[in-house]
Amino acid sequence: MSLHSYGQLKDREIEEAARKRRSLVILTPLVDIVFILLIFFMLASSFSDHRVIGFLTPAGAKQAIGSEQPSAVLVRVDADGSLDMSGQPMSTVHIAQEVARRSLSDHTLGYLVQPNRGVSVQQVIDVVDLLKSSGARNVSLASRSGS
Amino acid sequence: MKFALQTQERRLDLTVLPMVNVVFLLLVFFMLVGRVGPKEELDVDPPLSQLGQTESGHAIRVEIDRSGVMVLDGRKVDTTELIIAVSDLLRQDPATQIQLKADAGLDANLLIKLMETLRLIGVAKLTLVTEHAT
Repeated sequence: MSLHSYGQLKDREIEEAARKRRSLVILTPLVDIVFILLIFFMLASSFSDHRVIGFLTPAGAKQAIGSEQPSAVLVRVDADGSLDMSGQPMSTVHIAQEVARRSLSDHTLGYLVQPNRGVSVQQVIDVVDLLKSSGARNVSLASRSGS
Repeated sequence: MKFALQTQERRLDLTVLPMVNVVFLLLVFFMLVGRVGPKEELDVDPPLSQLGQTESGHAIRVEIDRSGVMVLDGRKVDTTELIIAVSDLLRQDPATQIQLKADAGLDANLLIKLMETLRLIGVAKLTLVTEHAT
């Protein structure tokens, strides 16, 4: 190997080493920023699957149903979870059957859910779920009378 | 000597790259799956329901925690302040939607009283936030 070609080889080696070092230098800030972005998205994002249930208000109901006032069935919820429909105590299965039967003949029939004292929002939503999944279209909430 | 240095550098490169790949994948996962939203002031667990619909349109959110504390726009309000704020919003835009994010353990009568009050002052669309039950 001549002195000249040895020198060329050495030059190339140095160049390659320098390039490698340069590529490492470029990678580090990128990794830093990616890490920061990762931590930001991990902390800031929420994974809960939120939905909404709409309740017709008188202003909205007037447009949706028209001027006629549909008849409504009162469903009362007690703090211990017991339900009654039009004043008669009923089990959840019985209520589901009754609602399904009634909605066959009259699907504009409204249901008014009225929680007793000490009933939580979750219990009311459970009853709304039960009524809607049995076929009730028009479910609204009413506060306890006389309190 | 120089050869040893080069292999060391290459080894460093080779150990860093898979980690960077994994970090990138995690970043893309969190960006696509998570939803970045405004920070919430209160600790509210919405009730579970199977029937909720996905949110549509812009709505003003009112948070209500277990003890009945209400937060509108990141600031604690009482019923009177809420009524004043919502009436102002309704005057600007009569089609303002209100979204109530109530805790599952809140007294239902308190929530329904509030919904009735909001209806009385003319809110046309009122929705309740639920957590989708699987």
